Amino acid sequence: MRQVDLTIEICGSSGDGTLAVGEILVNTLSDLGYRALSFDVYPAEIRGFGKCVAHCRVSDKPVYSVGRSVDALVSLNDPYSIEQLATLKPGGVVLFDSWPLREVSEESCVAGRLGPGMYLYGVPFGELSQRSTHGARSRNLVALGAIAGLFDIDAEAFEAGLDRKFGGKKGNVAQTVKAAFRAGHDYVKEKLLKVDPVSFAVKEELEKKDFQIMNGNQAAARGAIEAGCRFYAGYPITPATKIMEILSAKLPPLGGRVVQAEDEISAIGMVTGAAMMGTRAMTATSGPGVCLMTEFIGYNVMTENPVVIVDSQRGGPATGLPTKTEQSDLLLALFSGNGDAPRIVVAPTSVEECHYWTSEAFYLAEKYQTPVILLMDLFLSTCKTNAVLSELDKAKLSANKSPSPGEEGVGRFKVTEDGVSPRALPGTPGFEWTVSGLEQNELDSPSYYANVHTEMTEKRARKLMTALQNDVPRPERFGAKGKVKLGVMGWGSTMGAVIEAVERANEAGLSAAALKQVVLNPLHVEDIEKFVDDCEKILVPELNYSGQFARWLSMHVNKPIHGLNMVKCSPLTYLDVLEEIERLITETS
Amino acid sequence: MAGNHYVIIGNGAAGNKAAETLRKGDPEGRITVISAEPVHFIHRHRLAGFLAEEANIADLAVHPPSWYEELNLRLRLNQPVERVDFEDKSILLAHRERIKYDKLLICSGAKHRIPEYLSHFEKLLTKFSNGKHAIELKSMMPGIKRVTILGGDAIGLQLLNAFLPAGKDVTMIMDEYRFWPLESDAGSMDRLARALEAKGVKVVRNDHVTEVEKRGETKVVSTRGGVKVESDVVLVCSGMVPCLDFLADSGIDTQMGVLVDDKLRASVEDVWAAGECAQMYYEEIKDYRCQTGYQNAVRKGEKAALNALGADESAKLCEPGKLVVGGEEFITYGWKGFTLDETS
Repeated sequence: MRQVDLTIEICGSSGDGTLAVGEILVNTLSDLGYRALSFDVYPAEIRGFGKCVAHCRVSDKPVYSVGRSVDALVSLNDPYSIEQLATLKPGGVVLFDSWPLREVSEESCVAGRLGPGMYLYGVPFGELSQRSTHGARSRNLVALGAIAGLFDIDAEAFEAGLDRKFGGKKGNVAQTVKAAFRAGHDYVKEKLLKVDPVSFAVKEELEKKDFQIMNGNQAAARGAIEAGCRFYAGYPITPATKIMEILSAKLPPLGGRVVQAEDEISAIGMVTGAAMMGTRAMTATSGPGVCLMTEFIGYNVMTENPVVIVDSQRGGPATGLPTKTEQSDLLLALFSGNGDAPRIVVAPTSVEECHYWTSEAFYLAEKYQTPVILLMDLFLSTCKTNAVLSELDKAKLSANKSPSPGEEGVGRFKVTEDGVSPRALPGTPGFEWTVSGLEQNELDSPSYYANVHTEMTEKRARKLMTALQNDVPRPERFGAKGKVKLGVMGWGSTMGAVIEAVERANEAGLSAAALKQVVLNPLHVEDIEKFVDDCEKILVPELNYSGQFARWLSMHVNKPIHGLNMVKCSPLTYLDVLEEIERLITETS
Repeated sequence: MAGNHYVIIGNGAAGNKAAETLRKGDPEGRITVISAEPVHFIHRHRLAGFLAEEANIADLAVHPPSWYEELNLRLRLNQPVERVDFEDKSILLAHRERIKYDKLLICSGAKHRIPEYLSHFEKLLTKFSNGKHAIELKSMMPGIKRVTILGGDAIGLQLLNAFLPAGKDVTMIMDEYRFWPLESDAGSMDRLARALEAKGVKVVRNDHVTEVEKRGETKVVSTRGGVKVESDVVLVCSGMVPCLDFLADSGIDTQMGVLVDDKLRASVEDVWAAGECAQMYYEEIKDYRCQTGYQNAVRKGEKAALNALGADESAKLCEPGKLVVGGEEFITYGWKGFTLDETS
């Protein structure tokens, strides 16, 4: 059982420093040994206003999903925060600015909107900022101090975090921000009486691991670098742009290149070329970008070219909702393009897995000479957590099946038992080959004979089966063993919510289990069938309207699947899943 | 047309009864209850007991949060009123939010009284008149060994029930507010003092505090008679006064409390006052008087609300209560017009 499981939201307007406070809060709590996850909500438009929310969930045990209801809301902007009260728990806390610049009306003040079981504390953020720093810009840091003071979280740990973040800045920035923090902290300690039940207290001191606070984009970029990616081309798009930003700083010193292309088609074209020449290459985009890249995905399937494409999904279709999370590109990732074009599709379920599976994607792409699509989403891309990254296998840095001496004259697309042909890099004397999007025979000449097309189509499909046998991990089961009332299958970022929900359901005595598979194509169908056989009912929660994963599973298993399909513009929470688990099990009973 | 917005300042017995009555009489009206207290309404007589209990302060609430929800009351806790603008019919809260009202009921209750001769030392004195004070004092309890009670009013007497069983060393320096609001003669006062001494309380009689000073963590109380008492905490228990700070210079007639007629109407239109903050004119005695106690607050709160809804009902002087101290039962007629109708 968790001793601490709290969700804190900081809500403000763009420019209030809302997200910065969330970041410092999570970093500091991580330093203190808490497990934390933060997720930022911000407007799509780049401008000086708009609602921002830093959502932080904190526990003494690992957290994989956001909290649905909030224990403490810090308002840096009351009109925006009023909307957030809808998710505040009974017994929840609101900290607000009790000294606004001018008188405010009832309609625009958060103070009058609390339920009778909630607790309100006023702290003059602006005034304290002015007094401590001679400016109002540090209201957010006063609020941070107020959080530390109210919940009795180690102030020195916060100050150390502020030193780390601002210590390198010119002038006395670090001193200024610490003064603002201290002003908020001391005000709460001296003036406010804590009467609410929200507490960060734990019975035993938390183990302080060597956590690395990062989001999925940072983890993916790091995984790419560690996997030997040395070429990246992309076109900026939310929520994937950060990957390009990181790589543009990190790759050149390693001898790599980053190109900001004129559009996504050019980007995938450049990546295709680089990969063909033997460089591990990647692009990252979102759904609209994948749409544009579709033709090249097919081309890379046909030419058996190892490219890695990150699709950080967001609400669609079309430009859709640039800053809202969704999981509605699965079918696009699996089936986009014409013809039978098998490709590997991977959906990491956590920040740690974004690191591991980006690296693994390069290995799989190179070993099986195929595009690998890595399905992330806005939540996974931007949620920060204290990750413990795994050591990557250095043996996987090179996975190309190069032709052996004496194989000169053997065509690029030689039919092999495992479906993988020897691949000589262009320019290798004696191994010249022709590149084309046309169907080709073993001697890499265009061919339209039926037997050739059949053979090549089978070969392209077969190598994915080889990958499945050799390199795709078996699905992992969580929760109750043996036969259960309900089996839950999640994918991507929603898997964390599924695992937590099943954990809680089991604690409540409900018979439920979960199955996790990170590689969504190819699938370990036998394992899935076995799991399905163990379950009276199957539930698939996902953040799309049409139940895309459920449909994909339905193509492989012969059992009705209950979908929990949500397009709510925010991450799935374990409570969303837990409630559905309870409902379905109750129905069964 | 939008319904009336009733604003009640105060979330005590009078305010709650007024809110309940208003809701019954006007199901559609908007009702806002404002309180400076960070916690829900708790009977004052239970606060001393809270110090000795394991209970959470929220468990002592007279009404659970659901009571406010069911009555559709907008409760604003921890939101002190800065001032009332009667011309504009609006209230300015301390956090600079302005609230308009159609009808205002002032039920702000009473707070601890700091006698003038102690006002210089106020920062060194611990108060005990509401839930906030109770939480603060409870958090201090483990570190307290010696307690000095100045004055010795009824609340101070109740506090003995928390201090004595916990083994605290208690000194009571009585002043003219001793045993407030009991009305008793010198003989009964002496009997009470002796009863307290029998319980282990050191009672300093017929003396007057001249100084309270801090020496390190210790507070030293000096008296005119030359007594010096060292304490960890010095409690001021010298009676109560109506909470009216937010009405200063507002234009409403006040004296000790908000002056109201027998219909509990204040001197400005659409404003009523009830409970301990109201100083009502009683035809029976042809004078204004403040009254304390739960029954008084409930009856006056209800009456004020009925009149705010359009009735025209007069309130009456409440019956005196009784108080048991040291095994003796005392009739309480109040201090300068106060009564306490609780039993100990």
